[in-house]
This record gives sequence, C-alpha cells and structure tokens, in this order.
Amino acid sequence: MVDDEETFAKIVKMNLEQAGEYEVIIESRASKAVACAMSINPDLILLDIMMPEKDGLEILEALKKNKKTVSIPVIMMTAVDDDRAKIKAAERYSEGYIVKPVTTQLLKETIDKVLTRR
Amino acid sequence: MKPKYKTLTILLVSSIFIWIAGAFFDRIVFNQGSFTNLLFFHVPVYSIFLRVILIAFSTIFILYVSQTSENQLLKIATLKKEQENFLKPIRERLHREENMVEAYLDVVDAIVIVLDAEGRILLVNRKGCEFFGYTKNELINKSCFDIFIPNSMKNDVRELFDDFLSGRSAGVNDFETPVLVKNGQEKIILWNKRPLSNDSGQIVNILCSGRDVTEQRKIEKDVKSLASFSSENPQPSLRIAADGKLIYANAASLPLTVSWGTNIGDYVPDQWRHLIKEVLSSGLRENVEVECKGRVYSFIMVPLKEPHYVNMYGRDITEYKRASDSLQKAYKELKEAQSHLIQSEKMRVVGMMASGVAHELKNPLATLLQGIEFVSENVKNGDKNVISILASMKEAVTRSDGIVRDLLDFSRLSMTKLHREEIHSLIERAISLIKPQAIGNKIAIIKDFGNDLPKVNVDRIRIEQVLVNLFLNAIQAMPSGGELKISTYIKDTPKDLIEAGKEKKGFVKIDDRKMIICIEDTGKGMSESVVDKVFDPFFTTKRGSGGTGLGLFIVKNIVDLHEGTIEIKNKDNGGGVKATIGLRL
Ligand SMILES: Nc1ncnc2c1ncn2[C@@H]1O[C@H](COP(=O)(O)OP(=O)(O)O)[C@@H](O)[C@H]1O
Ligand SMILES: [Mg+2]
Repeated sequence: MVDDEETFAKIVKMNLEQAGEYEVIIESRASKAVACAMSINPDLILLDIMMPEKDGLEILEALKKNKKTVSIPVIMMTAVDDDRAKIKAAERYSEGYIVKPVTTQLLKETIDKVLTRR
Repeated sequence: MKPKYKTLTILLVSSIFIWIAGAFFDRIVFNQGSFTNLLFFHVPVYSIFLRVILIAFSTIFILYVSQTSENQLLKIATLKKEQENFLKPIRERLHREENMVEAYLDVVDAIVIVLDAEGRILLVNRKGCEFFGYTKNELINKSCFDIFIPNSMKNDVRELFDDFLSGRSAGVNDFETPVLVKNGQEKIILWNKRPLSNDSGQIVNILCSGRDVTEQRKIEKDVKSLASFSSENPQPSLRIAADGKLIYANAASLPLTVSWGTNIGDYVPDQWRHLIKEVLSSGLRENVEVECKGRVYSFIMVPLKEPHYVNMYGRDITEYKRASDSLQKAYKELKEAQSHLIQSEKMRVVGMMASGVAHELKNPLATLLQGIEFVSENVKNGDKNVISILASMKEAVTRSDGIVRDLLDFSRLSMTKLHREEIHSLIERAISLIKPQAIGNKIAIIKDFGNDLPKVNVDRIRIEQVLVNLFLNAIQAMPSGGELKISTYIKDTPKDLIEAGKEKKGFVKIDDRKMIICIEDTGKGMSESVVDKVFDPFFTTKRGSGGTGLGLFIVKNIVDLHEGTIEIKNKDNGGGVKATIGLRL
C-alpha cells in the first residue's frame, strides 16, 4: 500500500489484516514505491494518487513499464473523485479505482475481485 | 420840401413865365420894339396891366390849387396813417404767426416738407433737416427726387407724385417710401400728404408730413419672422389654455390634433386636460410620450403662470425610439451574456474551490471511517452505548462524504459543454441508473414520451445528473411504493400570447418554444414551507437518512446553465410532487 497518510495506511492495514488473510506492507514515500514493489513483488498494490513526492498516476505508469512489476495488479485508492483521473488510471492499466473514504467491506470486495480475476 | 415853399416857387416861376410870355407876345403880335426892351425897359402900360392881371389870376389860381391839394394831401396822409394804424397789428400778428408756424413746425416731432408741383422743396422743418442731415439752405428749392429718393425708386415715387398732383390718388393719403439721408443710409418714411390748392382749385403745392418707420418696420419684420418661427418648426408645438382649450398648434402638430379631433379653440381630450391641470398646478415641466399614427412623439409640457397656459414642445422620436429599442435589446442581450459569463466564471472559481476542499476533506474522512470501523470491530461485544455512538459517527462520516461528493458534482458544472442530444435516450440512461432503487421500493416507472421530438442542446452528463437527482427525490418520497411518471412534450407559445407580444413589442419572443420534461411522483408531497426552499443549498428534510440538501441546488444550477426553467410544486390534485423542466430549443 502506497500512501503518504501514514495513520490512514496503518488503520487500513489493521482492518484488512483483521478481516482476512492479508499481509499489508506500507510504503509512505512515493519516490520509493517502484523500488519497494520490485523488491517485495506483492500480489497487489493499493496506490494513492495525490502524494507530495510523486503523483500516483506516474508511479502507476512506471510500474506498468517495468518488466518486474508490470504484472502486479494495481488498485487506485484515492481522494481524487474525478472522471479524468479515473480514465487516466484505466488507460494505464490499473485494475480498480476506489474513492476515499471507503469502507473495509468495499475495499475487501474490490481486492478479492481483482485477485480472483488473476 | 415843405408845401409852402413849393407853392411859392411855383408862383415865382409862373409869374416869371407870364412876364416873359407877355414880352414874347408883344414882340410877335404888335412888334413894338426889341425883345429886351419889351422885357425890361419899354414895357407898354397895357401890357404891364395885362401881365399883372394875368399874374394875379395865376397866383390866385395857383394859391387855390395849392390850397386844395394841400388839403387833399393832408387828407391822404391821415388816411394813410389811419390805414397804417389799422394794418400794423395785423401785420405784426401775421409775422408773429409766421414765426409761430415755423416754430410749431420745428417742434413737431415729424418731418414736414412742402413741395411745389415740380417736387422742389419750399419748406422743411427742423426735424426734416435733422433727419436728412442737411441744413435748411441745402434743401430749400432743391428737387426732393434728386436729394433723397434712391435711384431705384425714383420712377415709382415720381409716378405717385404725379398721380397725386393730378388728383387721381385723392383717397390715398398715406404712403411709404425709402429715402436716402446724407450719410447714405436708407430709411423708410411713412408720409401723410395734404394737397395745397390755389383759388381755382388746382393743386400747386403738397404738404407732406413724414415719420421715420425704419426701426418699426424692422421690428415688425422681426416680429413677423419670430411669429412664423413656431409655424416653421418641423416638430409639433402647441399651446393649450388652462381650461383645456387649444390656443395654438403649428402645422407639424396636425397628426396629433387630427387624432384628437380638436381644432384651435376646441377642448383637447380629457386625459390631456387632466395633464394640463396637473402641470399647471404643480408648476413643473413634464415629459410625455405619445403614439400617433405609427409615430412616437416626446413632448415637454411647460406650464406658464402669466398668462395661464401650457406650451407643449414635441419631438418626433420614432426613429430614435426604434434605434434605442434595438439598442436596449442588444444591451440586454449583452448584459445577459455578460452576467452569464460572470456567472460561469464564478461557477468556475467556486468549482475549483469546492473540488480542492473536497479532496482535502476526503483524506481525513477516509482515516475517520477506517478508524471507526477498526474500533467497531474491536468493541463488538462491548458497551451498547459505545457501539451506538460509533454507528452515529460512521453515519456522520458517510453524510459528510455525501456533501463532499455533491460539492464535487457542483464543481464540475463549470465544465458544461452543450451538444445536440436526443432527449429520450438521455432519460432512458438516467432511468437505468435508478432502476434498482425503484424496483427495491416497488415503484412503477411510467413513460409518456412525445413523438418526433427535436434534439436539444444540452450537456448530456449534467442533464442525466438532473434527472437522476429528481428521480431519486421522487423515489425517496415514496418509501412504500408508488408511481414515477416521466413525460415529454413541446410547449408552443400560446397564440394569444404571441399576439399580445406583438402588440407590446418584445414581450414574448416568438421562438419561445420549449422542450418540457415532466417528472411526477405519488409521494407525500411538500409542505408550504418546503416548497419555497427546495432549491436552497443544504436545505433538506432528510438529514437523518443521508440527505445533503444539495441535490436540487445543483439541479437548478445545471438548468440555469442551459438557460432552461425548472419548477417543483405539489400536483394540482395533491398526492405527490411534479417537477417540470423546460429546455430551450
Ligand atoms: N419529490 C419530492 N417529494 C417531496 N419532497 C421533495 C421532493 N423533492 C424534493 N423534496 C424536498 O426538497 C428537499 C431538498 O431536496 P434536495 O435538494 O434534493 O436535497 P435532499 O434530497 O438531499 O434532501 C428535500 O429534502 C425534500 O424535502
Ligand atoms: Mg435529493
């Protein structure tokens, strides 16, 4: 999970791990996101868009251009509720788009849907 | 010489003559000696005797004659004296009168001239001299034609003069001529002429008295031209008396007076009489506009106290009016376009603000929601109060998120782009979005679409947003089921309104045709206090169940952006709400 809002990320991690068989690793520095993904090679990435160091959509592009990370599904989880951002994310092959605030229920459903599609 | 000496001298001379004649007689008839002797020395006695007798007789005769002539002379002298005494006062009076006449003539404030039959000046008074600028001597015995009749007029005046002399123009006593004075100025004189005849009744002299009317004629001319000033005015001007009688109206006022049916001296129509009264009593000028025979006049009504009447000065402002009307229309359109522009610019700024605020709020809301969920999960079996508070907190977050979402919707209005769209496909799409809720609430959807409706110029997404909002409100108003009816049709401007519009000019646009979309529900309707506020932002009666009060606010804004109309009110027969949207075609 790439999100600069650490408190938020921590609570999401706790909620998800409590709700099911998930292990959540948090990277709060956007600039480190791609490297982190490369080293961990997670099953799925939750990616914020508005972050101070780097734009989430740029990270998405980098991830999808990187051979090592291209196959990792990415769900955008962001406060940006904007059609253009949604379209951009879809064009860069994100697998889902969740607008904050989001219930754990919806988050879990979306994650499971993407993972089972794999 | 005294008569006495005269007589003595005559006596002496006659005596000497008689003596000499005697001597001469004696020499020639009797031849009695030389002449000298007969004269002095040897005078015969008979001759002396005869001569003395003769001398005595002649003396007696002469004395007698002289005596009587002396008496006669004396008589004559006394007579003469008497005559002299008698004539003197008469002469004096005559002389005095002569002087008086001249003095009179001199003080008369008119030019007095006496002309002879040739037109020569016999007499002229002081005023005449002053007027013409000559001395008396310069004028007397000169021909008036030479001195002061301008060349161009000479023949005419001469003719007049001859007519007068011959007595042909006996009735005409006054006439006017231009004259030249010494300094070359031309003046006009009004003459009054009087013939002066001799004993046989022939007109020999003419007495003329003249008045300088140059200034008067000039003033009269000015007055005349001033008087025609108003009648020459191409714009209407009228004068109406306090009692409403038309005193004066120039030619340009004819259309108005004809339409009134009022001639000069008649009363003007009642409404004008009232106006005249008002203007006079207030003493203030009043501007009025009058339409008459397709022309529009603007009148300024000027009340005058002394004498009591109102002057009306008009101006034909038809063209001006036409121009100003179209200018006003253009201005209104410009103003509308401008306010539209300002409005949309405002919307853009507000939109930017709203989207910024929305995004900033969404992150803390996300944290809150996650936190509440975590806590809820971990106090599942805890205090009931804690659980219910957590539930309320979650609801509050959801509502806040709803508001933020609506704000974002609102912020997107600035990006409205119009395209020609088929309205029914738009409605169908909106219906498909709310269908699940409608079915869930046992609500039947009834469609009553008009045939062959034209396309409308709209932003598809926004109008869908409008429809969805209205549908959702309808569904929310019918929690236990009902009917949602959607109808579309074209509303033509009613014929009578078009006619009225034509008359009132610009009252109704002929292209006032509208596409109407009607959404009706069978819900509980709205109370009076709600009806007025439905479009207010954040006004909601559904606060507890996720209402934000922004739905209809956004709807109204979207419709405004389309320059459309929207009306939401209870159905006439009660039992539900009817929302009517009108879109421009
Ligand atoms: N179809 C309807 N029937 C009854 N009341 C309505 C209807 N539509 C709107 N209202 C009233 O108008 C208010 C404002 O509506 P809206 O602006 O959409 O906000 P919200 O739906 O969030 O309350 C509603 O709360 C409701 O009281
Ligand atoms: Mg609503």
